[in-house]
Amino acid sequence: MKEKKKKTFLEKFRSFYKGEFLLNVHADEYFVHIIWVFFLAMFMIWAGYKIDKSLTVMERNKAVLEDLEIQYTQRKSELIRLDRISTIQKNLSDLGSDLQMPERPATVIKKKGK
Amino acid sequence: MARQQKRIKDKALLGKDRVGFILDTTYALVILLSALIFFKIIYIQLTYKVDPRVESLFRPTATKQIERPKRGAILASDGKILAISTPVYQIYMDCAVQYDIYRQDGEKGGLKEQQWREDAKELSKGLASIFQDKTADQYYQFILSKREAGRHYEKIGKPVDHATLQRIKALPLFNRGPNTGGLIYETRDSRQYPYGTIARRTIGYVKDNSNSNGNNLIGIEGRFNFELHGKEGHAWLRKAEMNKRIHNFDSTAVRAVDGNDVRTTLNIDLQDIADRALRKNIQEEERISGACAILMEVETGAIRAMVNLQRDTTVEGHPLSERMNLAISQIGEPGSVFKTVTLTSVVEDGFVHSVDETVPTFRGNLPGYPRVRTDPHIVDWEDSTHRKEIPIKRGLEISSNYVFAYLATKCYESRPKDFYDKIYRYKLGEKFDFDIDGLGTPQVVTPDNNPFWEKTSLATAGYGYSIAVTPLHLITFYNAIANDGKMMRPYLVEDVEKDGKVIRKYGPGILGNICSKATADTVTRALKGVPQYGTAKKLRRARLQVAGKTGTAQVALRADEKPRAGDQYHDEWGRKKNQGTFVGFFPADNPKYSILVTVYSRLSLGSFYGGDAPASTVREIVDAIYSMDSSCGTSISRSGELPVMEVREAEIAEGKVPDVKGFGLIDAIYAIENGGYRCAYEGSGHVVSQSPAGGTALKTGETITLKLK
Repeated sequence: MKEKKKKTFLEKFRSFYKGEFLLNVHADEYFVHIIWVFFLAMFMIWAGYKIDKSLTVMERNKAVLEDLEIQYTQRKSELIRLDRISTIQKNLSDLGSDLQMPERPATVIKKKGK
Repeated sequence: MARQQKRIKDKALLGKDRVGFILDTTYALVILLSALIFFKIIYIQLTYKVDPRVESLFRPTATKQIERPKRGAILASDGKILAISTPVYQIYMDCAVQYDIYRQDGEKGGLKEQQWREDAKELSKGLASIFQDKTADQYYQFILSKREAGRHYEKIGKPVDHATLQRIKALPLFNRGPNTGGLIYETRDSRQYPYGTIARRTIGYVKDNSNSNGNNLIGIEGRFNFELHGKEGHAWLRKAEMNKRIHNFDSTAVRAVDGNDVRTTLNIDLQDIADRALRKNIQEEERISGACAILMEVETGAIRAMVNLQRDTTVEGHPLSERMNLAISQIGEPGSVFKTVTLTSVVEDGFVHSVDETVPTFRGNLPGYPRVRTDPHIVDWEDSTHRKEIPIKRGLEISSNYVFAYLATKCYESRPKDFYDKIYRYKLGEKFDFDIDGLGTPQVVTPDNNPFWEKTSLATAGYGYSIAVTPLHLITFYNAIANDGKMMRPYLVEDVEKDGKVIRKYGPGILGNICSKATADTVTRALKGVPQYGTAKKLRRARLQVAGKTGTAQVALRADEKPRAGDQYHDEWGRKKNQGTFVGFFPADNPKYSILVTVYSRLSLGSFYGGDAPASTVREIVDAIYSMDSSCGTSISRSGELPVMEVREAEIAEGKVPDVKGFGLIDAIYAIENGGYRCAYEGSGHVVSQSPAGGTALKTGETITLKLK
C-alpha cells in the first residue's frame, strides 16, 4: 500500500486559501446560494452604515430644532415683556408721546337685530 | 481453568470498584465545585470589586442619557405666558488650552501661541462688550494669567440666554471650538417670568431655581408642580461614525413626557393696573410695611388680580416687592369691614328688616357692657342731630362700633352660638380649599372653643375684633353679598392644558348660599352709602358706583414687639400697628368685580385708615377698569343702513385738478401731488370739499385746499 504523503502546513493553508475544502464538501452545488448570502451580508453592512448616517443627520437636525425652539421661546419671552401696559406707557413716554389710557370706555355699535 | 476463572472474576470485581471509584470521585468533585461556586458568588456579591480597567472592557458601548421633560407654562386667562422654561448658559473657558503643546512645539508652537494670544485680545473686547463687568484689558489680563497658571475651567460672567450664547460662540478664538478656542458652556434650566415681578408670589417659584429667593416650590408653581413638571425619560446612545453619538433604537427607551400647561384666572392687564395703583398709593409712605389687593369676578369667584407688596428693608430705599402672599396668609382682626357680617346676620335672621331701622344711642355706651369703649361717633351724632337713635345704615356709613356691638348683643346675647354659627356658614371661621398653599386658618373666639370667652367678646366680634381672618376670606364673603348670597369658591386655576387642549378642568365652585337675595340686596343698599356718605368718600366720584366698607383695625403686637402690660395693641412708647382695609364690589347695581385692598403699617404713632390709601387704590383700579371695559360704555344701536362707499381711483389728467372728494387724507395728498399740485388741508376724516373743484384747469405747482370732516 502506497503511503499517503503528509501535507505540510503551507500546503494546508494554501489549500484552505483556495477553498478546496469547499469542493470536498461539495459546496459548489450551492454556489449561487453562497453568492446570495455574501450579497445579503454586504447589503446588511451597507444598510447599517446608511442607517447610522441618517441617524447622525437626524441627531444633528434635532439639535438644530432644539436650538431654534429655545431661540423662539426666548424671543417670545422678550416680546411678552414689552406687552405689559406699564411698559407700553413707559416706552411711549420715553419716545415723547403724550398718548394716554382712554378715560372713557369704547362705544360699541350693536349689530342689527341684537 | 479454575484459576483462570477466579482471575476473571477478580478482574470484574476490580473493574466494578474502579467504576464506583470514578463515580464517587466525580461526585465529590462536583460537590466541591458547587461549594466553590457558591462561596465565590457570596464573595463576589459581598466583597469583590472589579478592576475598572477590566470593567471598561466589558461595559456596553451604549450610554444612557436622561431626557428631561420640558416644564409646562403658566398662562394668564387670555393665554398670555406668565412663566415658561428656557435654558440659560454659564460660560467657562479653558484658558490653558493647547498651551503645553504649543510650548513643546518649538518655533512653530511659538507662532501658534502668538496667534492664540492675538485672538484672545479680540475675544476680550467681545467679552467686555457682552458682559460689561470688566474692561477688555482686564479680560485679556485675566485670560493670560490663567493660561500661564494652567487653569482649564474659569468662569466667565453671569449665565446668558441663547441669543447671547450665539454671539459668544462667534467671537474670535471661541469660534475655533473647544479644543483650540477653549469655550466651555454648561446648560442650566431656567424659568422665565416675562412680566417680571408682577404677581410673582401668586405664580410662585420652582425648586432648585437659582433665580428664586430660596423659598422654593410655592404658589402655582409649587401646588401644580405635579402637572407642570412632566416625566423624565431615558434613551441609549451608541457611537456612530466620526465618534458621534446616535440613538440606539434597538435598546429600551422611555420618552420624556413634557409637563402640562396651567391656565390661571389672572388677567395680566388688571394685575398690572392693580399693582401700579397699589404701589403708587403706598410707595412714599415709609410707615406702610406691606399691602395686598385682590380683584375677584363676582359671578365665578375667579381671581383676576392678586397683588402682594412688602417693603424689603434689607435693600436701600426699601423697595416694594412680592415676597409674601399676604392676601391669603395674613390673619388679622378685620375691624370695621366685619360690621357687614353682623348686618347680614341680623337681617338674615329677621332681627332687622330694613337698614333704615334705628337703634337707641345711649351716648355711645353699650348698656350692660362697661368694658366696651364709648363710641365717639355716636356722641358726635347725638350732638349734631340731637337724636337719641341712629339708623343702622348711617351707623355703617360712619362706621360706628357701638351700633354693631349693640346689634350683636341685642340679637344674640341669649344665643351667641347662632351668631358664631353664621360666621362659620359664611366660611369666615374655617379654611377652604384653595388653589395655592398657605391659606391661613381663621381664628374665631367662641363660647365652645375658648374658656376665656365672655359676653364682651360677642360685642367686640360685632365690629370685627376677637376674630381673625385673611383678606381672601373677607373678599369671598363680600363677593357672596354681591352675588345675591351665593358664595363662590375663590380660585386661581382655570384648567390644565396639553398642546392647547384642555385635559383637566378646575374652574368655579360653590361654597354655599349664605343668605337670601333679599338680605344681600338690603346689605348692598347699606354698603352703597359708605362711599357716598360715609368713610370711603374717596370713592364717591369713582367712574363706576362702588359698594363697600372701610375698616381700620389695630394689630395685636407680638411678644418681641414688647406690648404694654394689659394692652396688646400698643408698645411702651404708645406706638401701634394698623391694618386699613377697603372691601366691596362694583358696579354696585350689577356687580362684576369684588375688590379688596389692605395696607399694613409698621409700629408707628399714626393711624392708617381704610378710607385713605386702600380707598384711593380701589378708585384708581375701578377707573382704569371702567375705561378698558367696553361693556361699561355706551352702545349705539344701528338703526339704518350705512351707505356703501364707491371704490374709485382719482383721475389724474395733466393741467386738471383731480377730484378727491370722499378720499382719506393720505390718498388725497397722493393724488394731488401726483398731479403736480401742492396740498393744504383742514379738519380730519374724509375730504368733503375741495378748492378748486375736481376737473378745473390749473397750472401745476398751485395749491389745492381740502376740507376734511
